[in-house]
Amino acid sequence: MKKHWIGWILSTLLASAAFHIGFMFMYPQLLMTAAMNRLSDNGQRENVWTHAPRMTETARVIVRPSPDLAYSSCVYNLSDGPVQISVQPWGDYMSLSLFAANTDNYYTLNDRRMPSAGAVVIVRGAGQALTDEQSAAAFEVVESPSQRGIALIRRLAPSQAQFNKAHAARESDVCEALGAE
Amino acid sequence: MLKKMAFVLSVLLAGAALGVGSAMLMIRNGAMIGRVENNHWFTSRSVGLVDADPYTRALVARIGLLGLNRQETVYFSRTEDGSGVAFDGACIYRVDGGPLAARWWSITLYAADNFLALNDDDQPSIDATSVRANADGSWTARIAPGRGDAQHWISSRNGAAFSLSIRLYNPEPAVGEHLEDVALPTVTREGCEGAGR
Repeated sequence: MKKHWIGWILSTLLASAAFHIGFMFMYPQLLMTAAMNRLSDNGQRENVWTHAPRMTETARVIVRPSPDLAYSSCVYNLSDGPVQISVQPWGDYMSLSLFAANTDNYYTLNDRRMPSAGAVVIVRGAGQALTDEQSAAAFEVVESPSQRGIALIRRLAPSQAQFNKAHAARESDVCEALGAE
Repeated sequence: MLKKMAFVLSVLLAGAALGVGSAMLMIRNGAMIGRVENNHWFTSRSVGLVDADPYTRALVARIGLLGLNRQETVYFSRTEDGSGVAFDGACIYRVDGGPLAARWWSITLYAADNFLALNDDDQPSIDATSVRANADGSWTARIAPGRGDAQHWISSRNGAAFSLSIRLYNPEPAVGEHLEDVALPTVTREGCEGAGR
């Protein structure tokens, strides 16, 4: 009987360690998947920019938002091929950042490194080919570690007037599958 | 056969409860490998990085999803004043700062749910563009339910057990190398509404 309980306790400890590690790895992916679903209307708005209104206390999509930044998000999906992102310039701090499905910020391009006329960045999956023309048009080609992820643009806009200007600029940003008409 | 099935089932159930429960406890309590403390502010060396450990990733997913890596932005947070007492939205705090080693910075107050507090006064933050510093670069701000006579004010009206985040965008390289002693604002409690506090 005693042997039975020792076996049970050891097995339970092993199982709990496995569940603990498994849950730790899954948790960021689960939250990121939930965020991607929220930002894309459950997949209805993928490969297109969504321009968030000014961050106020009623914003409840992403935790700890900055009220001083104008955010635009694009949930990209590479299942139909590479995705092209074009970013309009901004007169102050701005950045385009890419996040993989496990939350990693695997790429960032800010205004200091960006050409003054803006930039085109192509996101592709492993093994996805581009034409010479597509490659030549891109400022950078980036390989995404996951098929889905989030592209995020931050533009510094601490006042309503700055936010209005940022909103006008970002309306010309593009996020689209390269095969899209 | 039934005994064996009961054994396996009970091991799996107890293992799942213990394993997931302990993981949730670590995530909720902010366990973070690579955590760096700096005068009551804290951060992680690994936020957003592709080499972040699973615990940091999990914590960041909960409190800072879509955070940038530290070459781009350094985030510090804190939940307590300079005496180590948890923030209370009904209290008045003085924030003393100086020049910060970044292209742009902000300090933002969040409620316990990690969203902006429902204060209805549009004063959730101060930033480098709104703060008027003295000739020597020093500045002072107030965190309180009301502005009072403060030039720079962050509202804690409905913040209750709030926390603060400081963002250092395009930080100077030294910031990332010296996270534990880079100069950050201090936060001092000056008083609280109600007796006994």
